[in-house]
Amino acid sequence: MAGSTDVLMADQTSTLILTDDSFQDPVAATTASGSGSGGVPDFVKKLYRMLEEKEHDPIVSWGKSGETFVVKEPNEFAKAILPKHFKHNNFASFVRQLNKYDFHKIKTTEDAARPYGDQAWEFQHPKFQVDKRDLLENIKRKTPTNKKLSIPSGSSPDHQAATSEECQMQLDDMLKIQTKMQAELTQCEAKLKAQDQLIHQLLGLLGYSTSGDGTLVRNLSHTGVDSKLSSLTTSPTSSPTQQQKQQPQPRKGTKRASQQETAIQEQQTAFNSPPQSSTSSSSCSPPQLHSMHPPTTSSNLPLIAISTATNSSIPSTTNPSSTIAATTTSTLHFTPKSSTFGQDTFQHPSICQDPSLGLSTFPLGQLTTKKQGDTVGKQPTSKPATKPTAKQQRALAQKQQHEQRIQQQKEEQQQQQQQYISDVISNDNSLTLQRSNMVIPSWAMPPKVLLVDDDDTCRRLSSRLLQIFGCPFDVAEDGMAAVGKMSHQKYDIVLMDIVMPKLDGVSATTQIRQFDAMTPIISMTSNTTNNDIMTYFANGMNDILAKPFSKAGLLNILEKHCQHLRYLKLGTGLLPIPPSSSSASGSGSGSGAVEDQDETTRLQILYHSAAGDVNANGGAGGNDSMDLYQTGGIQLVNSNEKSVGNNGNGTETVSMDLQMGMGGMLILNGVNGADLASSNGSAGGEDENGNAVSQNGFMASAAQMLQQQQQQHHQQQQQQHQLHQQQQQRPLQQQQQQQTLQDQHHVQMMNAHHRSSLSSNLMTQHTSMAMSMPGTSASSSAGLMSPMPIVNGSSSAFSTAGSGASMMYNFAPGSRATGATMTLMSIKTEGSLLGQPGSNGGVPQMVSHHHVAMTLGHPVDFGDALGAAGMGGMDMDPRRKRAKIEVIE
Amino acid sequence: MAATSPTQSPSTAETPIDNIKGNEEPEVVDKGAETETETDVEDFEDNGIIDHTTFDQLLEMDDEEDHEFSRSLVWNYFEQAEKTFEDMDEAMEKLDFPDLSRLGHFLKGSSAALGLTKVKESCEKLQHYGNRKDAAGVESITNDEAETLIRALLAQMRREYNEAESYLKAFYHGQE
Repeated sequence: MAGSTDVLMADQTSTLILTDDSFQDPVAATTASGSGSGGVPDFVKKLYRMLEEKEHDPIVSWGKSGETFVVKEPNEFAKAILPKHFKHNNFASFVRQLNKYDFHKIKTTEDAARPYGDQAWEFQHPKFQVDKRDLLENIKRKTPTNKKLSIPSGSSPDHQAATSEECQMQLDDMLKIQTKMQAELTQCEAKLKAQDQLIHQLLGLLGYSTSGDGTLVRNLSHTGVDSKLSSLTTSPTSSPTQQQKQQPQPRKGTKRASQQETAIQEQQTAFNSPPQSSTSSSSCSPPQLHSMHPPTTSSNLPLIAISTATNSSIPSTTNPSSTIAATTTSTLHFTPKSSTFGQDTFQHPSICQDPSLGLSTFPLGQLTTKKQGDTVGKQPTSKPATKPTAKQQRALAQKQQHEQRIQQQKEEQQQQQQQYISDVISNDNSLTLQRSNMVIPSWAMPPKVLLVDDDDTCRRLSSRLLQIFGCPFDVAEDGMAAVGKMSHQKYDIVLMDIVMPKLDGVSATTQIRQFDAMTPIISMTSNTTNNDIMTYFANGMNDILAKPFSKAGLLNILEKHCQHLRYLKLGTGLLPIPPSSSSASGSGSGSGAVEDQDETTRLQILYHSAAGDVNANGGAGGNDSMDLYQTGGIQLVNSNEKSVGNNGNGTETVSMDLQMGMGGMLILNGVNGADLASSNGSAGGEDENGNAVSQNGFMASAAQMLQQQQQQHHQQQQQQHQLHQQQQQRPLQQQQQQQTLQDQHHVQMMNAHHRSSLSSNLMTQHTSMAMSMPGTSASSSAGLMSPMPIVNGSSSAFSTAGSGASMMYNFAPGSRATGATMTLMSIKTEGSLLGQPGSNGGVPQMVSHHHVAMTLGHPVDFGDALGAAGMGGMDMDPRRKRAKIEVIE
Repeated sequence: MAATSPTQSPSTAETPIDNIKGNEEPEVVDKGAETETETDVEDFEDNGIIDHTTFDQLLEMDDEEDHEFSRSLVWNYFEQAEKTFEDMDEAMEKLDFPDLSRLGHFLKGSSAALGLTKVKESCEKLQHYGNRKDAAGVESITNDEAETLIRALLAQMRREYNEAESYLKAFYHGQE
């Protein structure tokens, strides 16, 4: 390997062509690397080569031991070296790539000596050592990618032959299994028949009588449709001839599906079963059936969906009723007496939780459908299995039959549903009435509720209501539990009893408010004297829900305080948000893209709904201040949305305001309009409670906005969320997403700024400013990131538990005219930024470092110094001031 | 009906049960007809055992098919109340007024939730008496006064509870 320099030189050329991801194409990689170093992945080679270039030493070099390598200045590295060797300038990509090859970052403890500087990233791989080129071959991409790669490389004719043999074996196996299954199916059918009889007996007990010839007669007559059904014939196992007799009976439109269904079902059964099955030996005539079918109606998809759920409960009942029996049951269902029977057997547990269903009992006719659907599904597979020589004709006929049956099923469903509805209307007025009362709001995302009550009865009652409203909820039995839950999870609203053992609701609220100022806490109490209410509000509760509360009362509260969750689809399309696998949004139950979008949407809506309140809400306690907080949140998100929508314009405003005000706050002002800021300025005065230290004569409105947002746990969570989003979005690197990133970044800045406002010293306006949070050292890294001189602010202790955010701002003197202004910011989170481990749980990435660098102004002016080249994939339009952001994991 | 019926009512107040039963009869036939309940309600409105607005709401939370949920809730309440009454008696022995007040508050919540107005009102009074205040919770009263009032109140509360229990049990019995 020592002599492979030439090969490597040749690789240099290939580097230009191949991205570092190109090893996914092993052929290309092999060609490029030649025979000498065939096993060494390009990436590793390039990495090694890079380290051999001594001129890079100040930035990246081997570690002192020679067993590691160190990126001393990630920014410089990303800007200058990465493009040279890896054709990109994304440090995170580089790190990911390292991860793929099983390199590990060497973690340095907080207080340990850092021989390579604070920014340094040290990586190691046991096989990656200085002067040990021969070991490189052993560096492999981690599985599963490895596996994928190995398959094509090992694909030889032999391999293929083996594969086909394997396939054949599998096929054989499958055939055997199918044969077995067919036999079992036959058995099952026999059993079903027996069950069928049993059910008939049961039916008899339930008020039905089976006449001698096997016709089911209903004792209770119902609607007209029902009476038609009452002549429904069953399929007595004992009388196949009877069955045959009935088949030719005319099925004119009036007799409708159910009856046909039965007959067809029987035929189908007969058709399916092998000849030896004496129970269903009657022959069938598919073509005949075909001609008998009435015109079909359109399908009823929702019902099918429900029926799936229903069907799932059937096996558990260990009462696999035959299809025919199920049909009968569906008829039964419409009589009050038998309805409980159906309910007991088939009630789906989740049904009451899903208010959208409206009617919590579904027509059992769906059971039939599903059952039949099952048989339909089985037939095509089982048939060829048992009889490999199966006649095509028969199969074709069967197919036709399937189609017809499916159509019939649909029709039957509809019919039965209509029946059911008409039953409901005619017989059960109160039922519809009752359900109409139960109309619940259409949540965009149901609020997640924490229910705190020591009284079991009340708790169950409230739980039930929440269930009906479709809200996910947790319960806590006392204040202590509530505080615990609040510190681990995010809820949209808390319903808090007051008088509780251990810790009462008021004290619990006080404690919660120490780390969560946002979540509405509603006092659920029967003590509603003025004094009490004052106490509640004074301790941070947001509203009163007097006990005993009605359904409407509770709903009203939920709607009032979770207004932002109520509506759907307001401009969500603006944000291309990738699915988030985490619970960073903290919003509880749901997950994925929908939730993410909702998160954005709801806050956007908050803006719309509450922006007008800004002036009204000075510093009043309780409810009003709640609105105030919300307003903060709104501004935040709106800035996000708005500038995303406006692209150019919004951005421009943003950067201008940044120049003026140098801080996250003014970004927002810039986007949301100055009037908002000024009104906050006037209102915020009342809110100042000992936090004046953060102002330092800095722009007043900004500082006051900070104060309003001091406790915005909520937003901070969102900040995390957005950070997370950023991470996910980054690879896409599309223009609009860049915009999004940028705007989200503003949010972060604001929040970070806000946090640090408790401890920061602003030095001089328009010069530079650094703020740091405890637990991290901000100063030296700031130096690395910025060519500008830095003044560091000292930091006082910040008490919120778990917060370990460090950030720094570098501000260069600049003017609007030239636009040569920039901000550098690095946010380093360690553990939870929020002090909420629970909400962090799903976001392991958040624990790592985030470096956020942001530039504003003309890239032309200072881009090089800042490393604008390092901001891959960005629009460099010099006429427009634009924020450049790079998040580095 | 699949409703698992907890302990059946002891032989309290036979006559009222029959009476109630008669009134409930139509509802038995027409299951889930809350409108019926409301008309029935009229007959009971006067004696105020139950606040039917509240109770009906409870019934609304049931599934159509049975009153399993409300029933279990009510039965749960019975157990809770019995226990609380015992606790109250104990506290009364010890003249533990704060505890009496607390117990009053505790039972008040669930009584109110079920719409047992009378019990709830008594609980509220107990809450005040326990705090050595008058029934409205305004004027202070002495311990002795409180004791006398509470003794009377406990008996009254018990009566009211029994009434309500009978009513509810009859109601649910009728549902079966």
